[in-house]
Amino acid sequence: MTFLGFAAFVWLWSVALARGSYGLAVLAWYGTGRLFLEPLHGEPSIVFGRVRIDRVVAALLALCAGGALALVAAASLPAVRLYDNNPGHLWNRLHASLFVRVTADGREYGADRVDPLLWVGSRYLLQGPSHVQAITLLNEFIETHGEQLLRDPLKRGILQRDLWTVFDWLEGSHAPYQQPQLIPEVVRKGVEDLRQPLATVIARLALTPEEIRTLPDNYAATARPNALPPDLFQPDGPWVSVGRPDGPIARHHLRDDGPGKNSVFLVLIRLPGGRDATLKYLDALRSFSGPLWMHDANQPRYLQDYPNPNLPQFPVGTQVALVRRALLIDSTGRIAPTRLTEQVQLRTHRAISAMTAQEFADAQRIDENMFARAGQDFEEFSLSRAALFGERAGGLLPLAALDRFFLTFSSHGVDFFDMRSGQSSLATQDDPAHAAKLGCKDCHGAPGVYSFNSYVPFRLAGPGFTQAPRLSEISLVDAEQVAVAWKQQRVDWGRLQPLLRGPLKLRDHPGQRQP
Amino acid sequence: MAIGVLAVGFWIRLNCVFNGCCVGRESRGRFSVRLHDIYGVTKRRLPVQFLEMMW
Repeated sequence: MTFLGFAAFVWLWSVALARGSYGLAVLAWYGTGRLFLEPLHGEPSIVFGRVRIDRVVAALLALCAGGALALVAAASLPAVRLYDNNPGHLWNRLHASLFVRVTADGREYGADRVDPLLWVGSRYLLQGPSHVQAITLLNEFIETHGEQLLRDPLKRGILQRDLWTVFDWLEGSHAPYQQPQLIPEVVRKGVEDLRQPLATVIARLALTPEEIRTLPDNYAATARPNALPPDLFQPDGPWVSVGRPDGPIARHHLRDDGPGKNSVFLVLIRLPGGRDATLKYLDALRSFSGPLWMHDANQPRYLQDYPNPNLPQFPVGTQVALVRRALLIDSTGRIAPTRLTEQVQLRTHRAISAMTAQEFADAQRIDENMFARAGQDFEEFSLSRAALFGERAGGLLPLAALDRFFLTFSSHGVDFFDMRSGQSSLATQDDPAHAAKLGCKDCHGAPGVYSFNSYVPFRLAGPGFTQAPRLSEISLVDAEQVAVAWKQQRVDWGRLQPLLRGPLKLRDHPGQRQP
Repeated sequence: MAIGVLAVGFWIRLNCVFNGCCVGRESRGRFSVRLHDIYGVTKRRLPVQFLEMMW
């Protein structure tokens, strides 16, 4: 018993439970022990003639502490009301088990975040109670045909997209750049246990191609002057969608270990002179044949390599947008682009300095003047399911609506929710919007074109990067097809595809029918 | 709190051993040990204080 109790205590210590849970658990354990051991006492304390008072007290202690523990545990279950007003609805419970993370002091995060709070180093869902709960709920969904609970194509599409994001995380790397490393056997078992139930539910939620085509354009419903540009996707409008000849754009967003592998990334640029000026500028970039990097051996080491100051620069007032749209899997097993916008990042260049070695070094500094030095406005809008389902503003909400910012893209892969020592770092963020903009500025802080990473990621690549892609206009349809083709080549899709065949009742290999 | 309850529970039972209170029933069993009660009477008894410490 001692060993069991100690093992349970050590195991529970690694699990984030509500405050006071450990104390109550110990009291319940102690009371239970006294209850069973009390009859062994030589001289029991007797009251009212025959009542062994020590045993009664022990029983009461075990009951009260155990009952309180059960109440605390029940109260700490995340209450999500996204898919139905009843938090007990199966879809809400499934979403909560995958998306809601709870800190040791009981605060919940991530319920309506566009991506799940999962990192390369997450133990969450791979082991412990979260793993058991996720599998239990997925199996409940499969056995009770949970897909029949809601017929709304929008909700079905969003839940499928969310589960697919979790699947891609599952099939991704689980080796964080920082300690602690995960145990490979535990990871392998966790992935194997979750893979098929997740794939089955993903398949059960599949919409027909026609249903996917009629999903709403939530960007159009959100866009308004002074926030999101209404003419962003206007054919022959001032914005030009940028493509590269060798695959999808926004390479660093796609190559990152974070979520976003089941999305179409679109990069659009708009010069103040309008569409023609923008196209001419892309021509100028393509025509540039000089070196991308300069080297000055007479400078201190940190200033020796810097971007070529003679690169064609765009004017002040230029805007660059990164748009992320959801991919879905349709009922024929194909990857289908949608008009559901998940995220929009918008940068407006208010001031552009000439490039020098010192300017490049300064762009990477983090201090109170960093946003002024970058000369840009950084804005970001993310999908809120609550707003989308509630038909509020198309569902895209600005950074100011965040209660907290978590970096899952371009992070070090550490899951602070899993690390008890990391709780303090979760509690010290004053301004979520500031933290999010800092994440943008970190890679896009250089002046003008030098922050246009779709051309050359100067901040990230270093002087070894010598071949700039030949950027040109690409239609939205072509950009989507490029994204689908890229996704089809990925390992995670290769693993998901065969698991979908049975639940989708596909007789031939779905990949053969993909255009 | 959890660690405190564990530590104090262990410490109290250790004191019970020296004090002779909460002593176990008299026993001739294999696991019985010689322990004294609060009157100083030493007999072979069930080591219930140690069991509670271990629990």
